[in-house]
Amino acid sequence: MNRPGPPPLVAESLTLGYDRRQVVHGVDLSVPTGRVTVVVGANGCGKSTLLRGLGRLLRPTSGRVTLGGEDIASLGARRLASVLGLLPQQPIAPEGITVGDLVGRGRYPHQGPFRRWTTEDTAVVAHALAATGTQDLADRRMEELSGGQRQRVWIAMALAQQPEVLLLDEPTTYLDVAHQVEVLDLLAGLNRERGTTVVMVLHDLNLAARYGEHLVVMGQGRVLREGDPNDVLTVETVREAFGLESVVVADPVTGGPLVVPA
Amino acid sequence: MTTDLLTPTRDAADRLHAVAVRRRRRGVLVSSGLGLVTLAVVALNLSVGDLPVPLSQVLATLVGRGDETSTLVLVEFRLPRLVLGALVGVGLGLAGGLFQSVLRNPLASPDVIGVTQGASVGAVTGLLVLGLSGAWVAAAALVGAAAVTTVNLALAWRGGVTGYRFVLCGIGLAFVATSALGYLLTRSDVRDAQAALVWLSGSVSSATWEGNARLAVALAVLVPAALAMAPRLRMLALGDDTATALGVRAGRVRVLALVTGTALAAVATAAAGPVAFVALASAPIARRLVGDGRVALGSTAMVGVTVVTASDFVAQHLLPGLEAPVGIVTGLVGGAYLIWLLATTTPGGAR
Repeated sequence: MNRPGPPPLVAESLTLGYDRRQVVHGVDLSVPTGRVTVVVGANGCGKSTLLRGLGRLLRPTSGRVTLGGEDIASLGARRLASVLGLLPQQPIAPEGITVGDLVGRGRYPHQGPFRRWTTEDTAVVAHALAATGTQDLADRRMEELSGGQRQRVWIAMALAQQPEVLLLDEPTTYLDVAHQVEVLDLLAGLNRERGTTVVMVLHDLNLAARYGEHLVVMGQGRVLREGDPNDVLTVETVREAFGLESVVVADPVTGGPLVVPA
Repeated sequence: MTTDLLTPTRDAADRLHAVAVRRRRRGVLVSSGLGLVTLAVVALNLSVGDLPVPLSQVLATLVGRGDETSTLVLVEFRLPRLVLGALVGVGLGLAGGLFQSVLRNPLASPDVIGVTQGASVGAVTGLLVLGLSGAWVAAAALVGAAAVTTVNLALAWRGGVTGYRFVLCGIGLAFVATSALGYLLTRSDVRDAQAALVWLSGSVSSATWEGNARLAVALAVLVPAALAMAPRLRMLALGDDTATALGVRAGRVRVLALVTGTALAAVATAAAGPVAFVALASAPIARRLVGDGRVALGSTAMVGVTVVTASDFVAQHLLPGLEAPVGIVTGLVGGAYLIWLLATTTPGGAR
């Protein structure tokens, strides 16, 4: 188990925007390697944009993102994808696609013009299905599944990609609370067992505090605060980031911070 | 529900294997089905006519041992026509498959978004204004199609091409091209306009071996290029974000596919005129046959061949009255198909 950890993901004075509208202003961020980082913030604060920038879905207006010291813009697309994965908020499933086929597409970065599908690919996909509890769905069509099942299948696809750093944009949207916890447990397990660096955007502050080892609070395109949730998640932070008066108490289950609107 | 990530999972692997086997079986079934239908259509096309050639003679002629009459009828008339129909079917089918896949829109076919109309304006300008003939008309059609796609790319460009903007701009350009076509036809001499109209309804009746050879050479370059794109197109079907995250340069692949699709539609249209709806209908039919959300470019090309050659048989022998250009039949079939598609597509299901 003595393998090197994932390469560090770092944003340097990262400025991001769409057309001429700037959304993220000069963010410096060192993502803790091999840990779970959660990005929170009010709607429109730029947290999804930051994630897209970290995952090279959005070209920086200025600044850069490095992975293992190399600018991700200069890395080959497939090579980068075999290390850095990103699950968008609303991925599109082609009509009629089966779960097995969809999860199998996660193997794309590991294939090449001369390297076709191998038994290793099958084994990896099988693991990904089993890890997400979707192996019984392998021959089902995506449109037949429930929202929670679908989300687990998308995560299985990201697992099949075998990235060392995995970014997820609101992986729990549209899920009921039980399925939210299920998905987050799954990602925490992935981090624990494989040492994968996980960065995700979440809306629910309390789930963020529970699952994030490192919390990044954003406001108006900047990082307001970052660090251990116990230190970061305070009445002041919640007021500054969300404009909400709250009481922060100890979570009766974990002892961590629990935000209750006042 | 979370099992240990490192536990061997024979069960899941077995299921995946079963899915793969079933899919391969269906692929073989679809291909051989399409192959048989095409073979039957080919046999009918070669055998039936004013001078019927029995199948035994067709086979003998194809291996170079036919009698003189059969050889004349087949080699000079029926074969070039059949070959042109097949080549046009491949070109248009693949062009439609590329456009629809990369623009994620079942209406995004070269004959809806102006490519075919651009080719027509080019060809008719060549015929009526510049007095061109033969290969030069084809060249003019290529220029017209390339012009429309170039303008469309420029109009739809916002740091990349989005499918929906490209389709809307293309529909607009198709109308502009149709107007230009009307202008060209009304200002020209009636007899010349009549000749242009035959070309405009899409016909394989004036096929020549020289023309076929030109088209075959173009397709020999374009078809492998299109097929080589299939793995990337399959990833692009997951949306630009997911495809990018999995290592596909989405913007580049899309432009490449649009250029290749334009070239395919253009060379096919240049050779036979705008044979309606083949590009629109082939890919969805193939996808429905294959049936699991794959791009299925190979099957799409086969469907294109079948549609054009079968339609040409109907146009030659089964329509009451005169023999009609093949485009009339594909237009009828395709129009009916389009209505059915629009009537049965559920909103949101066509993403």
